Amino acid sequence: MKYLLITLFAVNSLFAANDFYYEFDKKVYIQENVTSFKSSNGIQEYKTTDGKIIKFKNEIVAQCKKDIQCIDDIKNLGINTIVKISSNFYYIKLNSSMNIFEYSQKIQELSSVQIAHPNFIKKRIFR
Amino acid sequence: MIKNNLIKHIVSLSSLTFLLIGCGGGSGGKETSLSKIVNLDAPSQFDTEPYYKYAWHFSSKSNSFSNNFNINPNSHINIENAWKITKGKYQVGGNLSQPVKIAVIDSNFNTSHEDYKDSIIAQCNLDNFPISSYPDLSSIPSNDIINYCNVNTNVSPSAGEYSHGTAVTSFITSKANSKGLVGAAPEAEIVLIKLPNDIARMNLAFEYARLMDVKVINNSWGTINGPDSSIISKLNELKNTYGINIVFASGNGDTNGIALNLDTDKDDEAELDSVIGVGATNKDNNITAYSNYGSTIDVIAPGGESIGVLGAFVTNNEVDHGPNSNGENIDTTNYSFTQGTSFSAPITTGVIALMISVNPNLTPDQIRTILIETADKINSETESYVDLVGDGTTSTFNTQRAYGKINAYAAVKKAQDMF
Repeated sequence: MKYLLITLFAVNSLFAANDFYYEFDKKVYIQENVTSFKSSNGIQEYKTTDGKIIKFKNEIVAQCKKDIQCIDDIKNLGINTIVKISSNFYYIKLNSSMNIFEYSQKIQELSSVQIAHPNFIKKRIFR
Repeated sequence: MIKNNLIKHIVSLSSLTFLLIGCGGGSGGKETSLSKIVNLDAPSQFDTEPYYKYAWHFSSKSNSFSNNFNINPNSHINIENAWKITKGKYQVGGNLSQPVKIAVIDSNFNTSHEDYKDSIIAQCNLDNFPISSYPDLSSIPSNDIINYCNVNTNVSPSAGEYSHGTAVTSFITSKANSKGLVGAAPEAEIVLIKLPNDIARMNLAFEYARLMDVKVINNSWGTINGPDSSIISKLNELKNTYGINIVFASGNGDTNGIALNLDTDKDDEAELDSVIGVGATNKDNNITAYSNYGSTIDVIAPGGESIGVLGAFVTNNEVDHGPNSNGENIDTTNYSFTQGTSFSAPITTGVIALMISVNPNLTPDQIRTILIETADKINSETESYVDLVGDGTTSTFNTQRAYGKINAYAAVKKAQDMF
């Protein structure tokens, strides 16, 4: 039992270590999934290691590097729904089976891509 | 605590250098200096606005209100003299006599408010824009965004909902119409955009503002986690590629209303290189206790404190920030005293529109440089302003008071002189 728990902990840590997204070139690590049953419309909720709560659906916002075409590179990752929303910014919809952190990383790591991160749902403060 | 403070100041310095060597010229040909035909001692043009007497943020006139509430006569931004030059219509260039266009991105708006309804040229709610219904790999055509916005115009608050954008808008373009008071740029035009809550649609909101050819975008909001890289990049694009001025309120402190130092606190939209960050002053001509500050905040402007600034009514405002209950006979269904950096930002946005109206060629970096170079160093007798860059030529800076309180007339005059 003890070894099973240690193994489960190690596996869980391994997943956690791989769950991150990029803000420019800086990795933002995920501490835990805090999606509650109250969440609706497929909204996922996570806590980052620096204490931020982030929310998003299975969608990504990406920006190609200036004057570089990145669509084909993103499409080669097996993603089909890519919509250009302005200049070189793109909205990407993932299938439900696709892990958003894995694909955020893959897209960001493409040489043709400037930015890729989940399409965050932001809590706004009016001042 | 965005780390590129120095870059921002170097940009400002570079702009100053350009400003000093690059004056003159312009697409519309040089006009006769309007300041030569302006009588700066003329009475206010807006005394017929019934509540203008409460506008301590704009006027130094002594009256029973200012006397009863000990309004410092220097707490205004010297805008009455600027209005003798321009009120927000182009004075020069290819758009002569046309209004400067401004976008306000905010929570929601009362679009039928008596004081600014005639300034509205478009309004858009992108909350449900169907991005994923577009064919894969295609772009959303610009016309589709505009067509969608032509139809999806509901930016109104739901019943009883806090209506922050209503008050914000009134500080920019309330008209001289013998109702209420006036905004900083009463002849400018506004595009009202309801702020979506996801990054992709926020991007579309900024894109719509660009498509509407606005010159300034007011943002009296921030986000809990601060800006994400795609929004930072989008704002950079708007400023650097399209020459759009982007204004953000600095924020109103912690949960107790005590100002936060943004250099050490979380990242904030108001700190970005691409934006003009604005803090709040009070009726004593001092910085407010709640106004977030830091080396990346640019200027300050009236936002109110013990006595708020009077604007369009904020539905369900939880606190009365003014003398409504002290014998002042104000129509409280349409107007209220309010406070916050949210209202300092649109006052600054209005002043930027005035600057653009006399010199459409100014870049956002030049606008920022003029604002900080002409700002009044309030409380300088007790508070030190330092040269952050250390070259002896850049405007000096105070941690809480940034580069100082905006001086509308000085800024507009300098903008005009550079044309």
